[in-house]
Amino acid sequence: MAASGIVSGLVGAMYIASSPAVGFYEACTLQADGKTLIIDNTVVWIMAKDKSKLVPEVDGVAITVDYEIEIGRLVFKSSIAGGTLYKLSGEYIPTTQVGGIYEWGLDTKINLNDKTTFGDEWEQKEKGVSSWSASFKSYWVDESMFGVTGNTLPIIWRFFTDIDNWNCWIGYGHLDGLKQANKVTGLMEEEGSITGDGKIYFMDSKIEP
Amino acid sequence: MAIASGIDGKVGIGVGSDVIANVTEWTADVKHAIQGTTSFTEEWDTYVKGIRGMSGSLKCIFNAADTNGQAALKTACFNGTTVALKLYYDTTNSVSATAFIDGLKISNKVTGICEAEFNYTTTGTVS
Repeated sequence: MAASGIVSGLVGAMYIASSPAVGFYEACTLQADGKTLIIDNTVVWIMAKDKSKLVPEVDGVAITVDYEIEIGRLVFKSSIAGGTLYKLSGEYIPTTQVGGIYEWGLDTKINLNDKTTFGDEWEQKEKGVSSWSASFKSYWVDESMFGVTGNTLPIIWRFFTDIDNWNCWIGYGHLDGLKQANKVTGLMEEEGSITGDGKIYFMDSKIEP
Repeated sequence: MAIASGIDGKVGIGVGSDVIANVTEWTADVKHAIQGTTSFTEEWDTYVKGIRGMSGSLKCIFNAADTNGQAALKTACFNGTTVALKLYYDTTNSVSATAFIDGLKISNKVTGICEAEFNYTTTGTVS
């Protein structure tokens, strides 16, 4: 698979986490920065964003350094280098296509902090915190999206630009709004809003079996 | 500079000014925070120059395969790094700046085509 060029909306799609979660115990590779631990098997990359389900270990001993959960990897707060065999046990979440979707949108924002000082003639900026949000519109199919509104933890969302070539934006997010509307002259419709929890990625290859 | 047709516009990125693919529109909004110096007995406002800044947007047909263009903008956005932008009025005249990509919107409709909008804010001199 590879990144697609221009794509028609006809090959768009949206996937969300489905159930049940599936346990795994997989080898990982520590990156050169000493903090990023990537799972070797891409099939289990979509993990539950729940640290109680994950046990990273090095040479058979649990790692106690704190970390962030990202797609297919853990990013530790400080270096965990020095070991030989890194492994991770946890649960991965299969994803499934959401029926009835006809539109989605993604909005990523980077906050900038001003650092202009005396002597500057043009504004000077530096990067602050990033965030993302998304929305979708669909024809109502069933109550499953309403059920998602009750989730405590963020779930995985995949916004496909090209489902034929597995090009998608993927990230953890909370469904923080769901509108449903019914008109005698139309179809029952839903409109959802999502607030991102952590980083969003663009992937251009298939990761599931 | 004569009147410029939109068909001659383009956006360059990077030191070598690779052209960003599939751009359909660019905007630039330059602000100049002039400082008022009007004082008693003056009848008309007077000012001195202040800090300037520029922000704007690039609208594109989304193209994930545009490695040196749209993909580079996305990377800069997510990594919080700056890019060198060159916004062309026509085939030769342009405005250049170093900018943060501080916003990325993607929209996809079954009845349309996948589109992207990159928002930028410059840091430092615009020329």
